[in-house]
Amino acid sequence: MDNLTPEQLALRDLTRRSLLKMAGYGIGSLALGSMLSEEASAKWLDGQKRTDPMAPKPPHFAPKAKAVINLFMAGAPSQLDLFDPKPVLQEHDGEPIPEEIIQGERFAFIKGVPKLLGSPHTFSKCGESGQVIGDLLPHTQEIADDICIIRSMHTDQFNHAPAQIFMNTGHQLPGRPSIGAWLTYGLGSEAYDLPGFVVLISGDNSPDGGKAVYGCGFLPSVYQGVEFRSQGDPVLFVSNPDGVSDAARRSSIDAINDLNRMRLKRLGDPEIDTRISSYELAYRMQSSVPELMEIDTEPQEVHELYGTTPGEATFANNCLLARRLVERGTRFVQLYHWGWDSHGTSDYDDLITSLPLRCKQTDQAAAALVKDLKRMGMLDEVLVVWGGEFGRTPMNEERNGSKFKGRDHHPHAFSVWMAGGGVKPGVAYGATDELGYSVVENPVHIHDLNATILHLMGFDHTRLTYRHLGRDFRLTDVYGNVLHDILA
Amino acid sequence: MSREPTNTPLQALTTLNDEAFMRAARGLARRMLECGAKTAAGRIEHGFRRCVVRRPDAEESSRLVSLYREELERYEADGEAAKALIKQDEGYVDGATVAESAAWTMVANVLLNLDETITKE
Repeated sequence: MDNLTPEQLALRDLTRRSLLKMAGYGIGSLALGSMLSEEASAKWLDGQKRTDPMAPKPPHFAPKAKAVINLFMAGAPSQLDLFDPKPVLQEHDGEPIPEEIIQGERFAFIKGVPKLLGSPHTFSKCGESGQVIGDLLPHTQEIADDICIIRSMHTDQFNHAPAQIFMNTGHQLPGRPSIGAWLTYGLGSEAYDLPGFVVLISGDNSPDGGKAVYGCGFLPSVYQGVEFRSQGDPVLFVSNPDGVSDAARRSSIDAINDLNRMRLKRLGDPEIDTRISSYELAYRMQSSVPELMEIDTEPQEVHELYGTTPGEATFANNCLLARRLVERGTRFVQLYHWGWDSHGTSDYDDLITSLPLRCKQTDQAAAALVKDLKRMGMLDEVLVVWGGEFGRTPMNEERNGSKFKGRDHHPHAFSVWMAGGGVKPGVAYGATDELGYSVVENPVHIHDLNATILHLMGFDHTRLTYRHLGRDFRLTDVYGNVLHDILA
Repeated sequence: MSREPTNTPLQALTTLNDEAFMRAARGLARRMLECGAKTAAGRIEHGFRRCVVRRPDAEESSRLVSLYREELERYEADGEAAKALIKQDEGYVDGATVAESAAWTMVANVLLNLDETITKE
């Protein structure tokens, strides 16, 4: 996206390195002279139109989706109990897993030779499509004909923080931009007074990957995910201090930005431009965010559909907020709901007590979101993605001899579902082996999923790049294939 | 040498509205009132230098003087807001009116939010 000539790039970098200091030594003017004529540099600095980094930009080609709502089930929901029934696994429940299968495997917690664990929960064929979905998710069963279930997901990471970061940024170490940041970098935002990338968090804890999962990495920081809180002040410090009226705040921001523009003229540093835009957006958010958060204004039947609890920080509230955000032009809304990590060390994290609870916390609202978008005629243009950072083992973890049923982390096979935004509805893609250990049909790597999401939003994932440290980085690193078979 | 890593609307809202920054603004306003300058431009130069070390040029100074005048007019018309802003019990400088103190607090709030103040070179 950087259209600057090498000379302009050099000039921009020079200004960052304190042009004034260099000029003071007399070196600066020599350096500039060799790269750019005085006239040209002056012209460029003056003539550079103030560009808002969040101004809407077209993608590479016509998109199917205008926005993404990612329902990130942090902790890794158990696919074998929710989306991928395995009759053979059920038959061999309680038997030790054949050793050749786990030969050389590294587990997060499992030791020795674990026993196979069939699902204690049941599944049903649903809708006209006949999609098979777990009975712990009765509301999701109702949208069986709207979703595409991918059972062949696989990843390289088996611990939460690196896996969450990997899923979001394409690399397991923090420091790279998240998918939301890439998309807002590519598209800007249609929402004049709201951020283009918003994060909403619910559940007992924050995602293990921390803020890196919705960070901007090396992209300009304006593309970072903005976390909205559903309790208390929706955005910290959105309200002015006592004694500062809206008019006073407007007047102070005018002064700040006028002075910043004077500095921008002298230095040409694009970060100043970003700061000017940030302050303008901050001002607009002071009124747009409270309005957005007023879910009380939604009709009663909408509240019943989602199962919202006004005033509390629930997943259901966040789903409704997500719909409101995409209505107002936000491009990427990411919801995190923590608590799926069903290791089975106690009844707080097992398959019998805890898993149904997490399902109860999220099933209704996730399905409601799809139903609501469909009802409003928005589902074709909004891509909803549901899933976690890896899967769970077909074996019982039995950590320290625990009597509770649970599964350890499993990167080799897991399930996600997608709805809307150009994805084929009412279909399943990919399959795992009879024990649910590995993918045997149509494997989908994280990079493939991300390539597909970018494709639906109108981007060739190999061409949405940013030059950093001399390399053109992209979300999918050097990998990724678009899943054309699941596109409508 | 690197720029401030966060350059987002959230950061803007924090440095504009967080009580910690407002307290700093009140402190800076008090210094501007106590610095011995007799004119608005003089006080502005003092505050500006405290934030970014250098002196403001004519254009910058003039813009900040207009801001002060605008805020002074606002707070002379709204005594309640002025009192709330300066948090009366923290006290200001003898001889400065509540409206003047409030107006200088807003100028200080602006100075503390300049890109040049926030960015460490």
